[in-house]
This record gives sequence, C-alpha cells and structure tokens, in this order.
Amino acid sequence: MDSSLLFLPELLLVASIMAIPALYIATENNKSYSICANMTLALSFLLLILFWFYPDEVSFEKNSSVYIIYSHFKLDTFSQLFKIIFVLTALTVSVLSGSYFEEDEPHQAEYYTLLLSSTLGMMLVASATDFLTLFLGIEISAFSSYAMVAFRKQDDKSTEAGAKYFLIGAFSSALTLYGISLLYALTGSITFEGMRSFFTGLNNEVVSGNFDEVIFISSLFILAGLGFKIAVVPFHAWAPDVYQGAPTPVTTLLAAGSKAMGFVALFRVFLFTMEAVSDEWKLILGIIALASMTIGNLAAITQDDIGRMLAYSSIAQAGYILIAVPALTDDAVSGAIAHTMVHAFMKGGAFVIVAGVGAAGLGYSLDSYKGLAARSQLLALSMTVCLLSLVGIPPFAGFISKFLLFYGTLQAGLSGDTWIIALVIAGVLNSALSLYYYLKVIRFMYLYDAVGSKDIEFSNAVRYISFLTVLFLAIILPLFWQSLFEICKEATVALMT
Amino acid sequence: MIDPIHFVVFSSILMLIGAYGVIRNKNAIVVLMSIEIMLTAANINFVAFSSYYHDLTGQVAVLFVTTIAAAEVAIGLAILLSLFKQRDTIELDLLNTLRW
Amino acid sequence: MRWFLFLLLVVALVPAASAENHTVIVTQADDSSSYFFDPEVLTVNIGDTVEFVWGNGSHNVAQVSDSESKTYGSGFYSGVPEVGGNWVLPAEYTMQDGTLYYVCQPHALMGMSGSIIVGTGTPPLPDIAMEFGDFPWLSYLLVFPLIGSLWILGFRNNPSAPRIIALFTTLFTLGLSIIIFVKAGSGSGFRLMEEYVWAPKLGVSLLLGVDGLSSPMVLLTGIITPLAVLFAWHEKEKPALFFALLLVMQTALFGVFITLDYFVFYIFWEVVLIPMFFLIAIWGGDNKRYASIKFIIYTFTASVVMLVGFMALYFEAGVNSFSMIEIAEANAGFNRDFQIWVFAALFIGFAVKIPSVPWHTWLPDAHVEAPTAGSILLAGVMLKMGLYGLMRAAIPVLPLGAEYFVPIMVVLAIVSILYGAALSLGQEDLKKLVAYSSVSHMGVALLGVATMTELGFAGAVFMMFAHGILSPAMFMVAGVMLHQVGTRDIPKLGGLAGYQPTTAGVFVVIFLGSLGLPGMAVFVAELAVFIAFFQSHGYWLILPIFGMVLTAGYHLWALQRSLFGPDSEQIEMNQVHEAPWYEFYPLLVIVILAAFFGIFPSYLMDPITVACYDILAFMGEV
Repeated sequence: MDSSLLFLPELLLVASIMAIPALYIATENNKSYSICANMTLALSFLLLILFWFYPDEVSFEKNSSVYIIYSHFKLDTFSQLFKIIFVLTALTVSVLSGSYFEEDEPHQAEYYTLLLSSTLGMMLVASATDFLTLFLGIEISAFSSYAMVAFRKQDDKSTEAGAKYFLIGAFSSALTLYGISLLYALTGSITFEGMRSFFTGLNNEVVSGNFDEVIFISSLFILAGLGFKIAVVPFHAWAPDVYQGAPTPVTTLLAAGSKAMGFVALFRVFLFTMEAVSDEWKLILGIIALASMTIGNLAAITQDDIGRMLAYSSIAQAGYILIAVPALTDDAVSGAIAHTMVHAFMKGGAFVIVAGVGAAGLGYSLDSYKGLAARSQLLALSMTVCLLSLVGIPPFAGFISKFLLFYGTLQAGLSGDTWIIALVIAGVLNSALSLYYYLKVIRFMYLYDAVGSKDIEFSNAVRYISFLTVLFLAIILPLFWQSLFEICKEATVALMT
Repeated sequence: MIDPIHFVVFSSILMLIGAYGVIRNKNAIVVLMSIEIMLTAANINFVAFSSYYHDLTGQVAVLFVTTIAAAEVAIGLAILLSLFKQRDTIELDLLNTLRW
Repeated sequence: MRWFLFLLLVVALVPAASAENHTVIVTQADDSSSYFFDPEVLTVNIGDTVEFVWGNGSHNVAQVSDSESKTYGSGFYSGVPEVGGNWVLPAEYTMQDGTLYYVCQPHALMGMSGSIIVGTGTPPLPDIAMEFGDFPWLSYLLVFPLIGSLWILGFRNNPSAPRIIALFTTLFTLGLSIIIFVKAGSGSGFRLMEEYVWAPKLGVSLLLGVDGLSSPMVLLTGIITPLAVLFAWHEKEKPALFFALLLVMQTALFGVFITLDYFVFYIFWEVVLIPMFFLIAIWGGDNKRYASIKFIIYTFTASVVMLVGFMALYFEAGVNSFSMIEIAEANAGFNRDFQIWVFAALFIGFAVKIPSVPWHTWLPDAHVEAPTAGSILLAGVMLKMGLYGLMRAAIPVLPLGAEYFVPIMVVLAIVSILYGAALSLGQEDLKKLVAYSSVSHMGVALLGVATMTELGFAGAVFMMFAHGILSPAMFMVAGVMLHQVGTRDIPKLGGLAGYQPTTAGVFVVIFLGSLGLPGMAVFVAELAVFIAFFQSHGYWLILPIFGMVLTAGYHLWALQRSLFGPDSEQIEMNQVHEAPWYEFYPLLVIVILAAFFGIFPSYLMDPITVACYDILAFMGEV
C-alpha cells in the first residue's frame, strides 16, 4: 500500500475542519458540532493506534522513517507517539467541552473548528522535516488557540487573556522566525537534515569558518520562541494569566497539548538539527531549566487560584524536562519524552477536574476545593493521584517518568559534564519543594468541610475522564513502565538519528 | 559591492526597531505593526540569502511568512476588537484584571 | 631493540604464569639478640609454594590467624621446636586471596613474626547464600493486607465490619510473619527469596528475601499492627478509611523490610508516607494540619536525596541491576570520595527517619497530633526503617563512606541520646515525653551502628525490636490516660494507681521496661551497645551512660507524678476506671513479649548476630 495512507489522520481532521462550517450552515443544532469533532478525533485516534500496532499494512516502518508529500513530512516512532498524545488530548478536550459549555453558548461551531485546526497544527509539528513546515505547524496551532482563548467574547477575563496570549505569542514567533532566517543564511538550507549535515561538517572541520556567535544568537532567537510555547522562565509570564483567564477546556489543551508540541519542536530543533553544535546552547538551556523549576515552584506556593497554581507548576515541570536536553544521551532524552507524555496526562487530568469543579459552579479558587472529597470521592481521588503524580511520589506514573528523566540525566552527568549533576539535584530538591503546594490542595479536599451544599452533580464526562486518568496514572503505567521506557527509547532513536 | 553581511546588518536593524517597538509601545495596534516589522526583517534575510545561494526555498519561505503575517493580523485585530468593545481601550497598561 | 624488549617481556611473564617457589629463612642472630623471618612480609600468588628453611635455633612456624584458618591448616605447623638440623617446611597456596600471619611460638614476643600476602591480600567477599523459597510466603505478606484493605472498603457502610476485617487480616499476617521469622532461621544469607521481573532493561525486579536483619523487623510489624487495630477498636470517624489506610501502611512497611531491590525499596519507602500523612491529617489532634505537612515534607525531602544516592550507586556499580546484593558485591570498585558523597546522601535520607538530632523536629509534632494507632505504627515500626535502611542499603555497599562517617554518627547519636533525654525531662504532655524518649532510644541504636562491630550492630537491631514493642506500649499508656482520665498532661494527673490498680501495674512494668530494667528487652540491647561502644571508643561511654541516668530520671519522675502521689484535683477521680479490654490486652501482650525477649534474648540475637556478621563480611571488616 502507499505510505501516504499514513497521512489519513491529518486528512480526516482537515475534512472535519471544512465539514463543521458546512454543518453550521446546514443546521442550527449546537450538539452536532461537538459530535462531529468527537467522532473525527476518535476516528483519527483509532487510526493512529492501528498504524502503531499494524505498521506493515500501511508500510510504516518503526525502525526507519517514512517520508511523504515530497519529503515535507516525516513519519517515525517519535512523531506517531506524540500524534497519539495530541489527538488523545484533543479528544479529551472535545468531550470535556461538550459538558463544560452551556447548550446555548454562542460560537460553538467556530470553537470546534479551531480545536481541530489547533490539533492539526500540532500534528504537523510532530512530522515536520524542515523549519518552514515546523513554523507553519506552530502557527496554525497557535492562531487557533489565540482565538480559542479569547472565544468567550462576553467574558472580560477570557478576552484579556486572549489579547495577552496573542501579543506575546506573535512577538515570540517573530523572534523564532528571525532565528530560522539566520540559520538559513548560515547554512543555505531550511531542512533539518541539511542543517544537521552542515553543523556536523562544521564540527568535523569539513566546513571551515567560525560561526559560533551566529549559531549562539540564532539558537537564542529560536529558544525564545519555543520557550514561549513550553512556558519556561523568562518566557513564562503569559502562562499564569492565560491558564487562569481562558475557558478551562482550552487551558487543558494548552497545558497538555500545546506544551507537548513545544517540546516536540524543541527536541527536533536542538536534539536533531543542532546536536553537533551543542556546546553553543547547552549551558543556556541548563540555566533556563534551573531558573524555571525554581521560580515556577516558588511562585506556585503563594497562588490562590487553581489555574495559576497549575500554570506555575507546569512552568516548573518544563524546567525538569529541559534538564535532559543538555545531557544529550539516549537515556536522558527518552526520560524527557516519557515525562513530556506523562505530564500531558497529569496536567490534563488535573485541568479536567478543574473544569468539572468550575462547571459545577464552585469557582476556580483553591478554596473551592475544600471538602471536594465529601462531594465526589472519585474527583478528589483523581485530583490526588494527578497531584501526587506531579510531585513524583511513587508508585504513580509521575514518579516513573521523573525517575527515568533523572536517571538518564544523572547517568550523563556522572559520565560527562559534571554540572548536569547539579541540575538533577536541583530538580530533586524542587520536587520536594513542590510537595507543599500540591498538598495544600489535597488537604483542602480531604480535611476541610465543604462550604455550601454537598449535593452537586458533576457531569458524566468529567467523571469518566477522571476515572480513566486514575486508572492510567495509578495502575496501568506503573505496572507496565518497562514498555513505556522501551517506547520512549524507540522514539529517541527515531528522533536522534 | 553589496556583501551578504550588509543584508544581515540591515535585517538586524529592522529586527531591533521592531523589538523596540514591541517593548516600548503601549498601544496594541502599534505593537502589532512592530511585530510585522520583525517578520519583515526575517523575510529580508530569506530573500537575500535565497539569491546568494541561488536557492528558491528562501523565496518560498517569504511567501509563506507573508501569508502567516496576514493571518496573524486578522486574528490579532479580531481579538483586539473584541477587547475594545468591552473596555473601550486597547492600551496595554490597562490589561491588568489578571495579575501580570 | 624491539626483539630485545619482547624477550624481556617473555622473561618477565613466564615465571609469573607458572607457580613460583619462595623461601623464607628462619633464623636468629648469632648472639641470640634478635630473631626474625627473612623476608618478614612475603607476597605470593595463588598456586605458589613457600618453604621455610632454618638451620639454627629451636623455632617453629605456627599459623596464628587468617580468614578461614582451616584453609592452610595442614602442613603449616612445624611441630615442636628442635635444636639443630636443617628443617624445611613446605606450604602451597592454592586456595584463595588472603593474608596469613605466622609466628614462632617461643619467640613471637621477640619479634619473630611474619606474614604472607596471597594475591591481593584480602579474602574475596563471601558468597551470600540465596535460597529461593518453594512457597511465596513473602508475596503473601504483601498481598494480604492489600486484599484486606479493599475488602474493608467494600464494607465501608457497616459500622463494625471494618474493624473485624482489619483485626482478622492483621492476625492472619501476624501468623504469616511468625512463620517467616521461624523459617528464616538463623543461618547466613537470605531465605525465602522470590523474584518477579518488572523492568529487566533497567534491572528492576521485585526481589524479596529475608535474613536475620529483616526477619525480626517483619515479626515486629506483624506484632504491632494487630495491636494498633485493637487499640483503635472504637474509632468512630470514618472507620473504614482508617483501617484501610492502616492495612495499606502495613503492606508498605512489610515491603520496605523484605525487598532487596533499591528501586522497589524506594517505592515502598515513599508509599509508607501517604497513609501516614492521611492518618495524621484526618484523625489527628488540634494541630494536625501543621504536623502532617511538616511530617511529609521533612521525610520526602530527605528521601528524594536518598534516591539520587541510589541512582549513583546503580550507575557506579555498572551491573545493570538495582539488586542490593549485586551492587554490594560490586562495592570493591567504588572509590573513597564517591563512597563518602553517596553515603552522605543516603545518610540524610535515613537519619531523618531515625530520627537523629538535628532532624528530629518533625517527630514530636507528628506523634502528638497522630491518633494513638498512628503513633503506635509510627514509633513502633516506621522509626525502624531509618536504621534498617542504613544497615541494609548503605553500610554494606559503602564501607569506606560509612567509616568516614563514624565520628559524625557517634556525635549525632550521643547528642540524640542526651538531648532527647533532657527534653523528655521537661515535657508535660505524656505523648511528647514518649516522642522525645524515642529520639533518645534510637540514638542508642545509632550508637550501636556507629561502632561498626558485630556486637554493636546486633545491639542496635535488638534495640530496634525492643523499642519497637515498648514505645508503642508507652503511647498506648498515653492513649489510655486520654481516654479513661481525660487528659495526658502529667501535672494534671496524680494518684491514679488507687483508682485503676491493675492498669497502673501494667503501666509501671512498661515504664520500667522502657528505662532499661534488667530482664526486659531494652536492657539487653543497651548492654550490647554499650559494651561494643566501650570496646571501640573507650571511656567516651560515660556520655551515653549519663544519658541512661537521665532516661531513668524522666521515666520514674513521670511515673511518680502521674500514677502515685496525692490525688489530683484537676480531674474527677470517681470517673477514673480501669482500661477496657481492647486497650488492656494489647498492653499485657507487650509486657509479656518484652519480658520474654528480655529473658530469652537468644531467639532474636542468634539470627541478628549472623546477619550482622554478613554485613561486616560485605564491608571486608572480618
């Protein structure tokens, strides 16, 4: 069979992006958009899973990459793995949105269209083979999410968050683009392969010349743009505001999907394209990692809005993941991939509950979690599992992935750059620090009495999703973490060669 | 004779002007325009080096970037418009309902 | 030139490859002023032979020590010294690396002694006996409490089912742990081993096994948990969750004590924290929120540092396995600086749990706020995790690091003993008194470990067990006071003995046992530790002994103020009555156990001593 079939999940999304506006013209029924989006995403998810388990049928080779559409898209284990994560996140968000928004909420057709196009952008990023495709993917996803953040036009906070997100996002993507143009000017190529061979040549002195400054400056520019996507210090200022102001399902998409997309792009750029010149950017990434985990955790302690708190926590988590990038070894990178994926689940799971609690009318402050255990054992349990997992307390999945991350990085530190050990120790101490603010929520849920009525109906979607989250984070991943490790290892090999 | 270095210097100057505009200005529309200037700076690099290397990808990139810039302005103006409708202002200093 | 070098090489290699003949001249100076072996120190390879040759004087060659004296026994004794004649004593060294010391018996004091270093000079590490069981006793130990807790959650709306199920489950596991204790026996090495591969690529597996170090701890956990359940018989607030958490905690504690894999050990170590956090946070006293947070942050911070140490060990050993046994067997390759750093990381993790001064401050808060059943588990079993971990996971693997830390451990231990005892003197809350006394008692155990001798180790482990049954009893006393008298403030109590004579009698026995009365378990442990400490550090012993004086002081003073003396006017004496059965019998059981192990310490001491010998063997100290 033709391997273009592998592009089917993306094509499905494109078709649906066109179909929903058509539905809007044909029918006034708000439910139909969400059903259409759910079905598209579920189908696309199923296809991805099928491709994963039956690679031969679609001439997908796990050991080597498949290039399609004039080599503009590359399908390998790494890209497919993250596509699964993106589509799963989008599916969760879509299901969640159905229960989060009122039946008569305006502009639902636009919302679902944007959700799908944002997902499409992420998937393009995962498969990109050159900077132009990468940039297009990032922008498609970003533009859609700007609009989604601001989509409640009557909501003052939503609009303000949207404006901030848009302005900072546009600024940083302009910086990235300039960095890309500098790299193009230097190497004369825009594909990852071309640049990589140029840098390798530079390293082996096949290409003569000293371009250290240019490489350093352009990696700074690119880092500024991607750092904005993954929200690391000093490009993090938007995250708390946007996470707080945006409608919670959109926040879920940003925290789980968009962040993972940022990491995918970062891995492709730094670990593949610019690997040979790692001396130029290693230290700066290390410093950013250290700063963002420390500042993120310290800032999270004093927050009293759950969205802001989780935003700062995700800044800190981005810091943890970044420590593996300067380490550059297979083990460290597969740890980073594992933690990126598990982080999407943990953060996504936590925001689903935030959405559920918010939709039930309890509000978004930390106080609204007081007595949640009395209102719903399941939601409280799920939140506890997500939060303890974020801290990295065994036996939850967060511990496993964090362990793999620190394991690989420490190994690299012990055998090479000793300053990386300091990053690992800082990460470990930061995990202990973060326990404080996560426990605050857990204490609120279990130890305080609920203010107001106890009988609050949480929507079924939230309940099912949180049940699945518990199942996944507390049982499935910890039991089968060897498979997780192996998958991540495969993805790393696909990424770095 | 115009060296490639002249293009880089020119684009860097444009870039700095744009960045300065983004950082210093209080008006969202002017910020948007400054961002466009930054994109133009990148475009100049692409075009210049496309001719230097005799490679068309740079020019293709410029076409894409221009499209992206247009889309960006459209989305940006829409968001700013809805902000203006609610607050009667687009001064960035007044975006403080959410703590910075 | 090249040929010449090659020839040299061949000449150098050939004799090294084949067995070599060494000669030692046994002689004395003509004026009989000095006697010596020549050469005095001889280095040989395995398979070499040595001939002792002497012509004058009456000498013999007698072997005095070596790692296993039987190995070179034959042919290594020249018999009765004879005058004159040419004697030759051949001996062949075919067995193993080691160092032998020999003397001439009549002239040893005149300097006639020598040694033979075979190979590297240090005997190879003993092969640790690993016996895989034919029946999965140890996994049953992990699984049953979990099943019990799920079972309880199934009956959560029934008022009395949870406690009955919990009691049943814990009694069942008590039976299991007694069986395991007996089956572990007192042989060297690990028994009843089981291995379930979990992540082979990383070398992680659920490796279970008990030896003389862990089987007393398993027994202790088995004994303490049913007592805690019994003591919490009338828990009214969310009983199902309470007992379920107790059982989850029991699983985790068993897990810590029976696992032999660093990774799994860490997981169980952390899992202990979660139920304990909820036990304090939900059922605790007035200040429970502060105490629970302090508890979990303190211990979690320490243990993540420990995790980094574990990972460093794993990489340095390079055996691609987290198994404690395999990593310990690779410990010869760890250099001293590495050992010191890693031991520091592990020591922080364990010292907070012990708890040693200055990391003890979480303990009084946690104890005072915890419900009595929580305190029982905390003091009885959880505090033992620290020292157990030190002896299982740190010392055998990092002997040089441990040696470097001996002075620090001694200082910390003595400060803990004195500081804990001094603070206990000043406490008015009975529970706080017991909490500080725990700091002091665990200081004694840490002192035993710091001696790095077999007796000291054994004393420390015995102390862990003895304190593990007596300090829960002390907390139970405090609990009984609170329930039956209404307060546990010592100044408010007084003259209780007249109103609850039987209970007061048991109290007196428990207090005396805890202060180290001969015939009770604590005494044996203290004696062993102090003898070992005297042997290794001499008259510094005076400091811990002074701590014991303080210990006796605060115990007796507290007893005198609360049970005896004039009737208190701050409590209504006619409301005071004997403890109910579910509080009295656990106390009685503990008194009997403490006396039993005090009078027949060998039941515990035998396996403990063998295990401690194994640890020292791993360190290369024997």
